[in-house]
Amino acid sequence: MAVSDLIKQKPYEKIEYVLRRHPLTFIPIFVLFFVLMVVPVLVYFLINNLYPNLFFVDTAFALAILLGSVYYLSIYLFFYAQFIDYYLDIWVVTNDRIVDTEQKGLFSRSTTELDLFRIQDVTATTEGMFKTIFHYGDVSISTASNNSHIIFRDVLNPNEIREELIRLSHEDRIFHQNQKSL
Amino acid sequence: MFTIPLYIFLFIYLLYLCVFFVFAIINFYHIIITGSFTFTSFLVSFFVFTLAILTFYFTYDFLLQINWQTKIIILNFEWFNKIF
Repeated sequence: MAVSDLIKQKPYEKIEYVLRRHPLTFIPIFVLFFVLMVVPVLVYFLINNLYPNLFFVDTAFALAILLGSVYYLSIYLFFYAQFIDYYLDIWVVTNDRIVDTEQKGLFSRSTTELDLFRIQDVTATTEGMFKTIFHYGDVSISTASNNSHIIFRDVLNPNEIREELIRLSHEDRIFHQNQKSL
Repeated sequence: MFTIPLYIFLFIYLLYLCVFFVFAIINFYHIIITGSFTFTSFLVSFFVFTLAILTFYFTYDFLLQINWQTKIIILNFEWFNKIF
C-alpha cells in the first residue's frame, strides 16, 4: 500500500509533502533500548559474584536463560512498538488538503483532514536548544471555524513548511474562486 | 511438598513466544497498511527480527543440554518448620 492509497488520492490531487517527525526525536528511545540491553549482562555479573555456583545448578541455569530470553524479546517488542508510534505519525500535504494520520499506541489511530482553502492561521514554533540547532519544531494549522486544528509535530524546517502551506492555501483559494465564478 | 517439572516453564515460555509473534506481526502489518514500508522501516524491522532470531537461537543452544524432567520444589512445609 502506498501513501496515495492511505489518503485515497483524488484524480486531480498531487502529493506535495509527506512529513514525519524528525529522526532525532527517536534518539531517546534508541538510548533507552541499549541501556535495557545491557542490564541483564550487569545483573549476570552481579549474581555471579554473589553466588558463584548458582548457574552450575541445571534448574537455575534453565530458568535464568528462559527469563533472559523473555526479557530480551520484550525489549525488542517495546522498541518496535515505539518505532511504529514514531514512524506512523504522518502528515500528507497535497495541493487540495492536509491529511493528518496519528498512531496512538498499537491499537489506536486517528485521521484528520483539512481543506487547504479553509486555512486561516499557520504558526511555526521552534522551542528549545536541540530544536533550534537541528531546525525542527511544530507547525500549527487552524481554520476559521476553529473546529479543525492540525499540528505537525517535530517536523524538519517548520518555517519553510509554514511558508509553503500559505502558498498552497493561496493557490487553492484562487482555484476554488475560479470554480465558483465558472 | 509440592513439586512441578521444569518443562512447565518451557511451556509458559512457548506461550510467550506466541504472544511475541502476534504483536510483532501486528506491528509489521501497521507498517504495510499505512503505506510506510520504506527503507527506514525495512531496516528497523530487519534489525528487530534479526535480534529476535538470534535470541531464539542462543536460547535453544543454551537449553539443549537441560533435563526438562527435573522437579522443582515450589512449596516445602519443612521451610516453615525451620522458622519456628
